[in-house]
Amino acid sequence: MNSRPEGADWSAALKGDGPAFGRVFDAAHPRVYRHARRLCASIHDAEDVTAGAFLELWRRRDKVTLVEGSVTPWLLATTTNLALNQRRGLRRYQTFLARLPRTEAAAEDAAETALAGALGVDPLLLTAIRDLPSLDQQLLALVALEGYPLADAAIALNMSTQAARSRWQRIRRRLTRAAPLGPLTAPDDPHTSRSTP
Amino acid sequence: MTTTLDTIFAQALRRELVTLPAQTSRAWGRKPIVFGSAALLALLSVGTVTAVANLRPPGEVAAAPLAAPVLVNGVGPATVALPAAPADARYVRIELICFDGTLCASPGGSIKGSSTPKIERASLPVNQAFDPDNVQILEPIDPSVGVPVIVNPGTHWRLYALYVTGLNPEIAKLEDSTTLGIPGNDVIPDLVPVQADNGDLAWVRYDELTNAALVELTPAGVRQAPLRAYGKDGVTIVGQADVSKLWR
Repeated sequence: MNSRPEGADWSAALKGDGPAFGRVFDAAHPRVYRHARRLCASIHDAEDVTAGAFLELWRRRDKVTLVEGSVTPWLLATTTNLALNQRRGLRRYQTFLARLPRTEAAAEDAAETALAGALGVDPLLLTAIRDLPSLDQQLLALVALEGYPLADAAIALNMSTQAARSRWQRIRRRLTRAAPLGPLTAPDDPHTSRSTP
Repeated sequence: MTTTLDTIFAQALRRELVTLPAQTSRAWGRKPIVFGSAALLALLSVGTVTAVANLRPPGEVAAAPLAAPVLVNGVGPATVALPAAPADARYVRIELICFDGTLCASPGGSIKGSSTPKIERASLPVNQAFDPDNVQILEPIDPSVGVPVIVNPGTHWRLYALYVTGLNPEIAKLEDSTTLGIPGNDVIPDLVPVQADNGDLAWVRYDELTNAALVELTPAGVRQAPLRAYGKDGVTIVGQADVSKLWR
């Protein structure tokens, strides 16, 4: 995976450069939001989760792990966590989130989305994902939904590649038992490659 | 069905996010200046506090209270109204000292048990301003209504309250490692600001005000001999501070 320009902006933001943090937001938010939309039943929930991910990025800035200079994998893992455990994770930001404007167009879209359900994820899979431990949810989202290699996902989640690989196998077994799903694929997992038709 | 973040929402969120690095930089970036011995001698020799060379008096290095600190004593549950909050105040910092009783609480938390004195310490928000460094979720208090003092009936208490801009106001450090400033979540300085009897801002020892206060508990409240009040250098005695004022 190529290095991303937000690495330099992230470093500058850590030194107090506000506009640089804005550029990190510009670069990463489309992917973060799309990922949130996949997992959230309403557009407003997805907005809250997106905002929460960036607030968490700043609050936990000392613990953020970059993958090839990019904060995006960390943001996506956090987005997964917030989306699937939303009430608890976003509680500390309630006041902040209440201040952000919601447009009518978004409200209309929210109603439409509420009827359709989360975007782009099989409802059966989503239900099964919700039952996984938090770290498994994050690994699954990075690998199966966002297409990161297991090795990169492992870095973002602060675990060894081997640990990520065994965890991935366990997730696959568990989800296969829980729901009649198609094969879950990881770009760099030999077991997954064999099982893919 | 859109898959991009609503423009108005994104712009508002971005505006908020770009303020975070600067806020944090202001709060954490500046370090207290250690007061050099030469400067200290110079200050003592003239008996007043002035800026010397590149060193600034600790009173200027430490964050100053935004308004005169409130210091009142009472008995039993109460709600202590405060002066209006200055425009730049984000929190009212409180030290609630309970000299007896088994409960000592504020909206920010509580201390229970029979040991005395108990000190409930909290930063209570006075507005909805977002603070990324505050993990505690509290509803803002209305200063005109006041700070709830939640104690057992008959408990003698002292409330020390002052307006601050953040959770951890800057603290100054003297050469002998004495610290001077406003109490924060992370650090309790040795000397804290009060209004001296002459009306000026002065500094008293935190211990003498709180956990080591030599108090007499009366039916009306708490009585204590006036405390020595120090100047901004933390050494010069500039007068005394009455700490027995009763809440009515």
